[in-house]
Amino acid sequence: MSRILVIDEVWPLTGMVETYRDAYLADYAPAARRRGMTLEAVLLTPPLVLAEGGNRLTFVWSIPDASGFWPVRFADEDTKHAWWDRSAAMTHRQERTLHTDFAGDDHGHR
Amino acid sequence: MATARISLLSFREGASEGARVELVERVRQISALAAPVARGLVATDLPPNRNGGDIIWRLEFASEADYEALMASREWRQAEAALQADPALAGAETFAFTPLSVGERGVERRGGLYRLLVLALEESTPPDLRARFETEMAAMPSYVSSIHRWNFARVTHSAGPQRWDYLWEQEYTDLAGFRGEYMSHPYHWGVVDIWYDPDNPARIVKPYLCNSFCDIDAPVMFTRWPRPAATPFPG
Repeated sequence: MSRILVIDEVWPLTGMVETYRDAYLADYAPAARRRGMTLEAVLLTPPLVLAEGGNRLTFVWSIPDASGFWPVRFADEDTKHAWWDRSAAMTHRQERTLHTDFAGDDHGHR
Repeated sequence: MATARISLLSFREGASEGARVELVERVRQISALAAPVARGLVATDLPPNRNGGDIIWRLEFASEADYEALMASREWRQAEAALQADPALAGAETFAFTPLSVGERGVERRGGLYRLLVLALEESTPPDLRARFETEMAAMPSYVSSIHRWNFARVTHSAGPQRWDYLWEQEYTDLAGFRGEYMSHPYHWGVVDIWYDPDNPARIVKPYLCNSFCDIDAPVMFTRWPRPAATPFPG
C-alpha cells in the first residue's frame, strides 16, 4: 500500500507569513505528529516573503498507508477544528488535499 | 414517492435485561401494525456505534400516502404513545426520508450487515457545496464494490433533539465488507471524508452524527420500494 500525503496550503494575510508558520509549527504540528502524521516539508512560494502579500505556505505531511489513515482521522476529533478556526483568522484561504504517489514506471505510465 | 422511517431507540441506563427484551418485543408488535403497508426491520445495534442507540427500527413504505395514513391512524398513535411511556426507553431519534440515489448489485438477495449513517450539514453550507456533497456521496457505490445495496436519502421529517439532513444506508455481505474495502478505499478517505473531517477546513458535516450497524438475515431495502436495475460491480 502506498503512502498518503496530506497537503495543507494556506494564503496568509499580508504580514502574517512568518507568524502563521510559527503558530502552525508550534500549535498544530505537535498534535498532528502525535496522531501519526510525519511533517515532510514546509514550503513558501514565491520563494521569499513578499511585503505586499501574496505568499502561499504549503505543509506536506505523510501517513504510511491507508491502514494508518483512520487512527489519525479519529484521534482528537473534538479539538482539531479549533486550529482551523484560528487559522481562518490569519489567512485569506486555506485548503487541505489528500494525495497518493502516482509516478508509475520510469516512463511515467501506470 | 417512496418513503421510509427509521427510529433509533436507546435503553434507559440501568434497565434490566428483562425490561430491554420487553421493549424490543413491544417495538416488534408495533411494527407488525404496519405490516399491511410497510416492511419492517427491528434489530439490536452491534457495538460499537456512534449515537446509534440500541435498537434500529426501520419501516419501508411503498408510498408517502401509506406512511402518512399509518402515522395518522389512531391505532398507531396509541401504540407509539405507549412505547414512549415504556420505562426501559430513554429516548429515540426518528427520521422519515425519501431516496435520492439507490442501487443494488446483481447479487443474490440474502442477509449480511446493515449500516446506517445519519448526518446534518452546517447551516452555512452554500448550495453548490451541498450539491457536490450529494453527488460524491451518491457516487460511492460506483467505486466500492463491497456495497451491495444502498440508499442515499434526504431526511424529510425528524423527531428528536437533533436536526438531520441526510441518511446513508448500505447493506454488505458481512462486517468485513464494511471494515475492509469500504473503509480502506481511497474514494472514501480521499474524496468523501473531507466533508466530515474536523481536521479539514472543507468540512461541512456537523460532528454529531448517528452511525449504527446490525446483522440482517434478509435484505432490508427495496422490500416495498421498487427494486432498482442491477448495478454492475466497479472495475
